[in-house]
Amino acid sequence: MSAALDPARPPLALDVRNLSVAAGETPLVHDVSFAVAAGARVSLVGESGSGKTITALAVMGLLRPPVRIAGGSVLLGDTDLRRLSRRQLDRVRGGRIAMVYQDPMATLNPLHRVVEQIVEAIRLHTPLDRRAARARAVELLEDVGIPDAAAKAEAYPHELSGGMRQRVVIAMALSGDPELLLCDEPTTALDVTTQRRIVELLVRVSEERGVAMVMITHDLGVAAGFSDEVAVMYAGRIVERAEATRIYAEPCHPYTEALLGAACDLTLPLERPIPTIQGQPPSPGELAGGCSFHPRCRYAQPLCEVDRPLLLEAAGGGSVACHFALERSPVAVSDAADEVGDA
Amino acid sequence: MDEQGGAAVAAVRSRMRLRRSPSLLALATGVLGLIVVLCLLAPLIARHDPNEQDPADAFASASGAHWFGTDDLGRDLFSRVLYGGRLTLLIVAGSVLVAFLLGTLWGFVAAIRRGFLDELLMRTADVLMAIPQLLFALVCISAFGASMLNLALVIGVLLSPTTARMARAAALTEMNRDYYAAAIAYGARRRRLLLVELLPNTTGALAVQAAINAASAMILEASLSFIGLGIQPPDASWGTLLQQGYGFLYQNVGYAIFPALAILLTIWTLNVLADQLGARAGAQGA
Amino acid sequence: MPEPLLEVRSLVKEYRVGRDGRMRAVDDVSLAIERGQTFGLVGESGSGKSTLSRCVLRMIRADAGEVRFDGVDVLGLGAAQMRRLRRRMQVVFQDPHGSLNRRQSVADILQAPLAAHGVGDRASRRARTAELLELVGLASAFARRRPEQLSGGQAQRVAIARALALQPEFVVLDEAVSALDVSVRGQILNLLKALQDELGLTYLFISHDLAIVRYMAQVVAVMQRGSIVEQGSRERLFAESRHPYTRSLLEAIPVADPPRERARILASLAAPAVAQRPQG
Repeated sequence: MSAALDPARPPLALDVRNLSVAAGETPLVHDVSFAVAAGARVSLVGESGSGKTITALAVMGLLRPPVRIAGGSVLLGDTDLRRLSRRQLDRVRGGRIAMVYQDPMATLNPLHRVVEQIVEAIRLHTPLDRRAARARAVELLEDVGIPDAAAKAEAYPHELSGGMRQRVVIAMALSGDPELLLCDEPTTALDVTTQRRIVELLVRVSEERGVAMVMITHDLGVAAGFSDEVAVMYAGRIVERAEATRIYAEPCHPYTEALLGAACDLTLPLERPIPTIQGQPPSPGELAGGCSFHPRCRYAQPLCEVDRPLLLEAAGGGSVACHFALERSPVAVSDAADEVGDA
Repeated sequence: MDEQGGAAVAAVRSRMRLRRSPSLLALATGVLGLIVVLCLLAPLIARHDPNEQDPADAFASASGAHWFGTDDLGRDLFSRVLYGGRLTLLIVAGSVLVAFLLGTLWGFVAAIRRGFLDELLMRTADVLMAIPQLLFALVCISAFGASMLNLALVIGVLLSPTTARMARAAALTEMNRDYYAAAIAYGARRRRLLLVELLPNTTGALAVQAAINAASAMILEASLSFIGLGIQPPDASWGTLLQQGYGFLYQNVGYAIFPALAILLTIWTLNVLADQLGARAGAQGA
Repeated sequence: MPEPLLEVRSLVKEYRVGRDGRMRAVDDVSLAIERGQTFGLVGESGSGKSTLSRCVLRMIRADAGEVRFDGVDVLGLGAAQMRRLRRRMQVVFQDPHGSLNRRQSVADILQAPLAAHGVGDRASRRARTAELLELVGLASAFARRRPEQLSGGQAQRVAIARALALQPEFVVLDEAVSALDVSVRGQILNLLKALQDELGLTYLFISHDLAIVRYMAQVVAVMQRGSIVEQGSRERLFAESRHPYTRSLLEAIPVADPPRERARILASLAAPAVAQRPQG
């Protein structure tokens, strides 16, 4: 779905514009803009220090001093989240917008049975009574693919496997019937076979219920199957943003290209050293002048040291922040540009 | 979760625990420091000899000449409180040191050996903790006499089982970490493991325990002196002063109040210190 | 045919569960690692791969079985002899910062193994520290830094340097790159390979990531729930694996190819729910 790029289509579930986040005086996230159409799935991809998690926390309104939003707007549907009072924000969180974390035990209380926790979530956002809420809870557990849901509902979190716990957390997140789901590295702590299943679950939920999703991940493989659109973040900025197919096939930004090259899959040639990016991702205080990536970029030119590239339209679709994107990556013809159809 | 995300979440979490208050910590440290300095400099500050009697001027109330008034023998209370503080603080310091040395060794050895020795050491600690403290002190002091050294030793020994427990727990936590496993892997011997790997990483917990011990030691010393088992006349610690003053509440209430205030203030600062150090150690250790 | 450097025979490690239950974390495992080789051990969480490595290094006590290092019966050695043997077998852990003592400087950390075995004097230890830093690609200025001033990749380099301080023959790499950023992972793997060539090291490479294991190891064993379910040369295992568990691991690896992955997901969702007996 290219709905995310075409504003004339159904309304946007999430519209983030020029978002900046700072911790005291140190900027953590600069000028980040991206949009998620209703029912679409976007991935924020990046490594440590990229600011992807902070961005998600900012959208959810979960930042605490000294970390704060320093500028920009966050629109959920047509609600400006920055203008809401604390009470209103509390209502929205868990209801219209929900978050799934990397570690299910960050959300689940080890002292209560699973069903009680889901019931609590349900009753916070819907007017159901206990009985009805219980029934709904079991329904939700079935929906997220937990076999023998009625029995499993009575279990305590530690009695379930990692994958099951993550499913429970997803069920809780869905209990408020959200428009948008934020997932922060939801599969990183899981085994590879379970990872695949959780990604499948998220895709299914998104398709069946029309829930828009934002997945934060460092794993390009996981993002590949999941996303309609991918935004690559580096040092607190978006450096490239495009439809998934285009980005993987024709990465325009040197960082995206290098990241794709560095990923180890089963086709990695054995005789050569692994392609890698020299140096390490910068921490917020130590950003280089000009383009933040230039110290590690193989194509760096003197211009890159002084002049920070803006995020501009890229040939082939999407946008990229690199002075030399056009020269390095000639206009892509046929396949990539024509991938407009549905997921 | 990347580093900034983690930092944001940590910021949220730490607010739910004890509030770290640098100003409170500074205040407590300042007050404690002041008390210690004043007592140590007693010879320079006190205007009267603490043992100089002036029976004609007994039970004088606070005045310009005698800031805290005088006691039943006309001795200047301010001087007595200052000199008494020296004794009290020395005993407290001594017992904290004894408790630290004995308790840390005890707890670390138990942690590192595990098995039977661990059980033996910890059950001994339990037994010691089950004995009423004053009773134990009573027996020991009666047997060995109430010198400053004995008092420090007895109180120190009384405080060491809890210190041992704390040291053992702190050691066990650190022993679960990878750097400890790495040390075993490169062939470090026990002494190196204890002194170089474990000890520096447990100072947070041990410092907190020391502050708590100091407060407990103060109370124990005061209690012992109060029942006459502590510092003997003519010397007086705060506890002895309290005991003496207690008998003359109608004649000069300051006689009891000032030592009591001194004890109270010192214990308060020690508790705040313990809390704040604990909050810091908690934030780092995780 | 020369003897393998490391041989494990019928190793067992059991844990008590509940009141009278028992769980075998390592269930009758046998393997052999040749000198100069990299042996890959693959498994998901709970497979027992880390427990196995700790038993081999004698950091936890195995319940049954034998471990032979260069012919020596590791499990039967006395404490002092074991300490001496440790100079020849080292380990690098998963968490780069966790494996460094945060109260020490990098120089202290690198000299600690030397000090522990009484190797050399102050001057020679300092020289060795400089040597080690160069070996792992860190500038000599790093000697004065503390762990909190290091990035993940730099910290892991220090951990590797420490493991090499005593000139071991055998190094266990326990998920050594799993906690590192993707762009840094390759650097460390390349470094490990280069060190192996330069110093003639033998590696036991443990990871849940099959793609990385394929790159690093000539011989691979797959563990599941405490047992090795399949073992063989890299070529055979990846091209013609027969075991269903290995196959399921291979198939689960996502590929950075959206149309392909998308198609797979949709196909999975279209399949009847019978297939959905999620182990996770």
